[in-house]
Parts: sequence; C-alpha cells; structure tokens
Amino acid sequence: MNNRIDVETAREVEEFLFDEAALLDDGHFDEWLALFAPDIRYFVPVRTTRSARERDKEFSGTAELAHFDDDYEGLKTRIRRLATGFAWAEDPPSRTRHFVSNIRLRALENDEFEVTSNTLVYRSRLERQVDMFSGKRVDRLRRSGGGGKFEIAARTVYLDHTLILTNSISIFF
Amino acid sequence: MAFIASVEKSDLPLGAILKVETEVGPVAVCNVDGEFFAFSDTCTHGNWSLSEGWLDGHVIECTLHMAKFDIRTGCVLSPPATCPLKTFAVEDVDGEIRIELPAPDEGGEKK
Amino acid sequence: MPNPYSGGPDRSMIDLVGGDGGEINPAIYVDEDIYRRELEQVFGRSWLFLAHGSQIPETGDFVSTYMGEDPVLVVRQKDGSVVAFLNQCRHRGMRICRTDCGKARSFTCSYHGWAYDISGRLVHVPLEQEAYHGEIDKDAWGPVRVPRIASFRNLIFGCWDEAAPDLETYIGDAAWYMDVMFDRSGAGSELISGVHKWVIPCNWKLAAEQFASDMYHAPYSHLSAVLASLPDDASPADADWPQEGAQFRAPRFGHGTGFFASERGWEFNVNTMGRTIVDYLAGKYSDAAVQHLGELRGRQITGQHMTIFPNFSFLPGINALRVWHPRGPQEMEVWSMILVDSDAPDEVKAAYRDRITRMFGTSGIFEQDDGENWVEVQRVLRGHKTRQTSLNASMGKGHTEDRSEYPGIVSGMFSEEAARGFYQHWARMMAGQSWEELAQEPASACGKPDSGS
Repeated sequence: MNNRIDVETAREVEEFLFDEAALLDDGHFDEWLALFAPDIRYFVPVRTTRSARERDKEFSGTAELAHFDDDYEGLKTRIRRLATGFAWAEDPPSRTRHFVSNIRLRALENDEFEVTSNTLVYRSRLERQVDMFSGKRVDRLRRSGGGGKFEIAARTVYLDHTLILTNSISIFF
Repeated sequence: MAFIASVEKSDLPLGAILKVETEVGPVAVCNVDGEFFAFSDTCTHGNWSLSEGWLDGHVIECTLHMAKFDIRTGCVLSPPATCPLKTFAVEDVDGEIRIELPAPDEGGEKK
Repeated sequence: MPNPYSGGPDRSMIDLVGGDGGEINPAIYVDEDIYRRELEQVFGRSWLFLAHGSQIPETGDFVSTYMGEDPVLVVRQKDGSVVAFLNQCRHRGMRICRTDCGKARSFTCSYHGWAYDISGRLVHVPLEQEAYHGEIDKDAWGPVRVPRIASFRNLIFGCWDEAAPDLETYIGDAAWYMDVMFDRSGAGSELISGVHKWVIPCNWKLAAEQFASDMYHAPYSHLSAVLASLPDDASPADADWPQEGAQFRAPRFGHGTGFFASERGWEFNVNTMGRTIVDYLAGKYSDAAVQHLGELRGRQITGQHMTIFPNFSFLPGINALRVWHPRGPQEMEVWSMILVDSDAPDEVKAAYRDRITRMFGTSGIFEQDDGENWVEVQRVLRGHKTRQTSLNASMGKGHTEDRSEYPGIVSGMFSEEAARGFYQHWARMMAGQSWEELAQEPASACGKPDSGS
C-alpha cells in the first residue's frame, strides 16, 4: 500500500481533531458522541510502574482492568448522565482545555487512517482544583460521507500516569 | 581426567536453565535455540545462583546485581562482576546432555 | 462544642466521637497529631488487607502495597506461603523495590546494592569482607517482616501487633456477610488483573465509614448513574430501589455492612449492571449460590456495601473492592479492584470487567460522585469555625432490631449504627485500649451511653 499521505488529507485530519477537541471543551457532548462510529471501542488502559525488563507489561490488556473500555452505548450512558441534573462530579462542570499535537498519520486499508497524537488535558474545577492528564492517543479514523468528514472507529489513550492524581476521571480524552 | 555430569535433554526445553550439583560446585546448563551451554552457576561477583538469572540469547544476567556474562566464553559483559565465568564443554549423546568438568584438583571450584 | 482534644489522650479520643460515635468532632479528619497517632494505634495494630491471593499465584510474584503509610512487599514463596516485609533497606532506608508488581527472583537495593532473597533475607552485602571485615550479621539486618500474615477466603491480611486476636476472631460475625461476595460459589474467587489507583484529597475515614454504614447517600448521590442507565422508553418509576433491608454493626472491632434484602433480588439493577451479571446473581446461574449460602445470601441480599475495619471495603455482587490508603489527614489513595468467582462462566467474567469498570473505579459513573462529596467535605474543613462544628451521626440511634436471621447487631437499612461502631472502635483504639478491652462490646452498642472504657 502507498503509505504517503497527501497534504490535503493531513490537513483534514488535523482540522477534524481540533474541531473534536473544541466540542469537548465547549461542552457539546452529544455532537462529540456523533463523531464516533457505532462500532467504536474507546479504551484507556491502566498503566503500572514496571522494571525496564517488564516494560512490555506496563499497560493493561484488553481483558484486564481499564480506566475506560466503552462501546458506543457506554459512551452514550456517560453523556446521558451529564444531562440528568444530578451528575455532581460534573455539575458544576469541569472546565477543560484539550491540547492535541505531534499528529502522525498512517494510511490503512478501506480508506481508514491510524492517527497518533499527543494529548494534554488541563482541567479546572470548582474553586481551585487543577488536574493535568498527559497521554498518547491512537485513533482509527474512517472516511464517512464526503468532504473531509471522518468518524472515529477506535480510540486508545495511553496515559502517562500510573497513579491518577485526581479524585475522578469525569471528563473525556 | 575429566568428570562428567549429565542431564536429560527432555528436562531442558528452549530457554530453560537447570542447576546441577557437581564435584566442582554447582553448574548451570541451558538451552539456547537448541544449542546447549554449561557454566559455573555461581556469579563471580555476588555468590548468587545464575540459574536464577535472566537468560537473553547468549547472555546470562545475575538477578542480584545485574552482572552479565557471555555463556559461550564466560567473558564479563557488564560489571559489577570483573572475573570471567568458568564454562564447560557439553555434548549431546542420544538425548543426554553431558557436561565435561575438570577434576576438582585441576582448578575446579570444589565447595 | 468544646475542644475535647486537650484532656489527655484516652478520654479525649472517646469524646472526639461523642462517646458512642454519634457526634463527630471534625478534628479527626484534619488534625496532624491525631493522624500520626492513627498510624500508630490504628494502622499499627489492626489487621490490614494486603493482596488477593490471585495477584501473586507463582513463586516470586509480588505486589508493592502499603500498611497505612508503610510500604511493604508481599511475595509468594516457593512453598506457596506468603511473606510480607517493609520495603525499606536496613542500611540507609532506601526503598528496596520501586515497581508496582512483577515477578522477582531477588530484590536488590539500588543505593549500595544490599540484596535480599524473595523471603526478605539479606543474602549479599557488597564488599562484605573488605568493608565490613566479615563482621556484619546478615540474618539480623533484613527488612522488618510483617510478623502476622493470615488469609480469609484468599484475601491476604497482615498485622504488626502480636497481641491482636487472630484474623478469624477479628473478622468475627462479619464473615457471614463477607461470604455473600467471597464464598458465593464455594469455588473461590480471583481478581480481574489490574488495579485502579487514584488520589482523593480527603481523609480516609470518610470513605471507610461510608462503605460501612451509608446506604442513605446512594439514592441521591448516585441518582445520575441510575437515570442515565435507564432504557429510552423507561419511566422514572423504573429507577425505584428496594425499600427492605438491614444494616449490620459488628459487636466489636468496627466492621459494618448494609444491604437491600428483597425477593426482587438484583432485577432492579439490570439497567446498570446488565442482563448477564443480573442473571448470574439472581437468575439462571444462581441456584448453586442459593444451595451454598441459602436463599437470603444467595439471591436476596443486594446492593451491599461493607468495610472491614479500618480501610478495606467492598460491594458484594457488584464485586468492586478497594483499599483506602491514608496519605496524611487530608488525602488518601484509592486502590480499586474487581473480583469474580473462579468458576463463573467466561462471559460473566467479561461482563464484570466491562460493566463494573463503567460503574466503579477511576472513571466509574457511580464512583465519581463519591469523590466529589468527600473532596468538598475536606475543603470546607480548612476553616476555623467549620473545624469546631460537630457533625451528626445519630441516625437510628436506639433503634436496633431483633432480627434472628442476621448475626451481630442489626438495624434498619438506613441507619448510622455501623458508622457509630466504626468511629467508636476507632476512638477506643486511639485511646490505646488493649485488645482485651477492645474485645468488650461497648455498652452503647445496645443503646446505652458508653463510659468510654
């Protein structure tokens, strides 16, 4: 397969990721959910501190405990929760800023792309709570419709934290 | 004359290390990609069993202080060990791995 | 409220919880001196959960964990036994092992290279002849061993105190309630591999007490998760929870649990937990559990929350378990795991992993709102006035019930009887009472005022 990505495609992918981040930061969660394919797997494995020798065991596998391992219904349930009026961990809402950078693309078969990016999420809550999440995101994007539109067919977020330094992950990456 | 210690080949699957007590002290014997190697089981640095160690290709690493040796030659590949490891010739005779050992008075490490 | 933390340690500790645990001085959540004393008197003397046996199945498998703030290594030995020792080199105090878990063949301190075998025996000191002139007694300078290790249903506990009762006595009547989760099938249990670890800036007792005693918060704190899980065509009435249940207060040693007990079984939770788990707990798979534990524990007790004093909590059925590790008076680490019966079908184990991860743990839609509450309780206690304002734990005082089907002291499902048991036992430990004294059931547990000794 020709793995060269043309500039136009790279630009479209980048714009897609930036728009996606804006939906999260602006609290448009229903529109954010609409970016995901019905067969989405949204996976955030647990990381453990391992010796260099066992570094290949740092991240939990797909049958082990994860911070998130959601299908479309799972994500939908989380988003519905935010709208119930009783979601105390997000009401008042967190103020987030998603920074997406170091984007790398690889063409896959069937008009799909593997998109790897760095993500830094700043969260401010209530009076003085500040959290930072740093990680690597690996997405599988699929062309949908036309005109530079994509859907997210798979997302894995490899966090840089082992011990999560906050009281909950009530936001999305 | 040389002493012989032996182990059953079937006890040594790929990647395995066995510790064998011999006249000249404990000896480690291992299987690397179907080839067999024998060497003194005791790390020359820390008096620790190398058969407890990590075998990676032809390199054995002591778990105690991470000294490394080439099991083919006994050469030190990483400190804190500084003295080379004794190695012994092996022979595969009809499913039996025979280790050729020096007599204890020929410089063996009699314990 | 006067400041009772000034009248000598023994009496003042009891007064801090209003004598019977029913009125709480917030100093117990913020005071540094109380916290240091807690590490000594509570965490230094109680049986503490260390690991589940399935985390360390083979020789050399280990987990790094904590007893209070003391780091310990818990290691499986060649003979199948478990040894735990302080993760602290006896030379200059360096942490011997800096990883979370793994398989060890030895442990070597990275500072000067003192090396230990998997049982914590000091086996090598670099330059032993040249520097120590062969005079160091290696047997005497291994890391400090946890002197008492015992297991209940494959849960491994450790205790520093030789005078403490054995684990079975310590758990006492609570065992009957624990078995709803840990001996459901008789085939044993195992963890789904992995541990969620996160930090909540709140005192560990807020969480431990809630899991012991607080069914009261669930209908309101967790309403969003229940509503969000309803199907599209559901009516709010489908979010109805059972009204029958009970709470257990351990007559001694501070444990507690509460639960629904209803012929409706787990069906009311089908939207949150999913059909596979509900069928496992109350439907087509549950006959064996009923045969093993009886109808009440095998099928009817649901929504259970429980704490084994001081900091080991779990939710039977939901099968989440966690340790609240204290990190100063104002912070704790939560270590959370998911348990399954060893003989559960693979699809049930998979369902537990998927569903319970969504409900509990770092991102759990139930868990999130607990953290929100505790964090704000703690923040409010920065104040001068707030720290002098006593808090009410009087719910159901004097209303224990005579329920012959349940062991221990039993009250209604919505009660703070178990919270009072938790705080009263905490206060008596803090006052330095001996294990003989602690084994005496306090008079107030029967509704009478307690003299504090």
